[in-house]
Amino acid sequence: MDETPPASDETYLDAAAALLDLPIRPEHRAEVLSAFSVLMGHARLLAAFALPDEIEAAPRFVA
Amino acid sequence: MNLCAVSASTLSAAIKGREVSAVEVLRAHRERIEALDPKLNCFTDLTFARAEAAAAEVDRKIAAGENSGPLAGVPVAVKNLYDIAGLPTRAGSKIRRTAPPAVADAPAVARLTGAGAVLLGATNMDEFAFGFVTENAHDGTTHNPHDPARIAGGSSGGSAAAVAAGLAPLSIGSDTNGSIRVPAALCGVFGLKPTYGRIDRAGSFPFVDSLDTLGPFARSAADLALAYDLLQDADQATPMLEQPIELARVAVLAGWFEDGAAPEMLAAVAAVAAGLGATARATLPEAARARAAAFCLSAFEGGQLHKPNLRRRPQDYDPAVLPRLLAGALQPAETILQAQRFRAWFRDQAKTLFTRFDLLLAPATPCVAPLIGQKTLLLNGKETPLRPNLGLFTQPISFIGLPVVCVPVTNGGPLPRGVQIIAAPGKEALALAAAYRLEQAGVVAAPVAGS
Repeated sequence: MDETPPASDETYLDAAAALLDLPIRPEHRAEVLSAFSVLMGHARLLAAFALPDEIEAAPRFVA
Repeated sequence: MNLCAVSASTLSAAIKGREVSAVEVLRAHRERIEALDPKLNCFTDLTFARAEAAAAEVDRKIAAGENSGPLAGVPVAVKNLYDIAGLPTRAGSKIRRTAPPAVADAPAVARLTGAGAVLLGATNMDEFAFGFVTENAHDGTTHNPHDPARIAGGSSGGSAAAVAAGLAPLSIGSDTNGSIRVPAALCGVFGLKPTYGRIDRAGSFPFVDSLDTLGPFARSAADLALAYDLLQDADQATPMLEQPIELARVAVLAGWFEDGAAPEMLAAVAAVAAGLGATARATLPEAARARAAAFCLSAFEGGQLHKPNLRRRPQDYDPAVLPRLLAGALQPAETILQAQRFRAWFRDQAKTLFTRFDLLLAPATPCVAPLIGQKTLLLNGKETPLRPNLGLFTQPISFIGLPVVCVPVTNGGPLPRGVQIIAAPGKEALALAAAYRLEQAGVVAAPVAGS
């Protein structure tokens, strides 16, 4: 896991917090950024895997 | 008979045989709770008044020759995210302790008490079930009965520790990413995470809708099967406990499930494999990514659930939980879609593996119970944050809803070690039969801590 979050993580986090009206209080900011960078580490690992096109997240309706 | 050390089935039989009354069994457990729980901190709520009435009613039924149920007079404990009539369902939080009291017991609780069980109270957990340690900022830390300087694991830590300490022979918890298996492993008891969707989740406070499951803890495989049978209607494991297990169709999971494990954990898996006569090895491909996907999805779904309170009263969350919920709620949509798509792919990989094997074995945790307050864990020789990594081996499995029995392996030293016996969806009975066989062979056991 990256120790130092990329600057893009912080930029995204601030924009998303504003867009979604989910403010991050100053006293929580460092911890939230750290948690977000951990999540993004996992997300990058996931994104690096090329899933076959036919794999869907679609639900299955089984009788 | 040591009333606080025997199994639920033994207790129930003794009560029905009028060797001991349900009231006496309750008294013994109450005295043990009053003696030990101030130090262990398993319970957050005690329901002794209700328990007294329930135990007396069991005794009355037995005296009158009425059906008293398969759990007649058996004391039980439930994680405090289950509704208990008359109590706020706190789910480990400060935020919900002022919630209106539940008007009825959760169906899972009602099924146990309807079978004659006597409810002792509600147990401690990580706030909103988002953790593996049960070091709760509001309700304190639950201590491991095998070594009070160590954690009980989480998030169902109070329920697991109560069973390990002899405060109740049976309890229930919930498992989203490992919250039954991790504390069962660290406390040295049997735990069952059923197939996703198997047990009705009504009346339990949610965490991650697409992963949450409910399940029991016990000190014997037969008790675990009995509780499972009572908690749902679709399956019956007890009559199948002695079913044959094809040795060639049991495999140890290699790769991800071995790489980060401490040597004593690998030895525990080897002991279980030997106990079942299994020599095969198998690989569940891309388990690291499955774990990553479960990690992101959990934080996202949990974060979405909590958005109103994350806006209004973030200061009231456990400081260990708040940042992960906030960060989780703010993740990019593409991560979530990729995680969901990956889940479909990974499920297909497991499905293929289950054409060759019936049961898969893996450690439940990378290490034995860590010390309370411990921040890091040595994984593959590297210092790694402890809290997120206790679920390293449980997360990929629950990610695709598989049923798992976590068994406590004996003879490894003073601290318990748990091994996951993983089955195909809907095959709980086979995993329970394997646990039963191992128990008969003396490979696994869950004696009360200190006994």
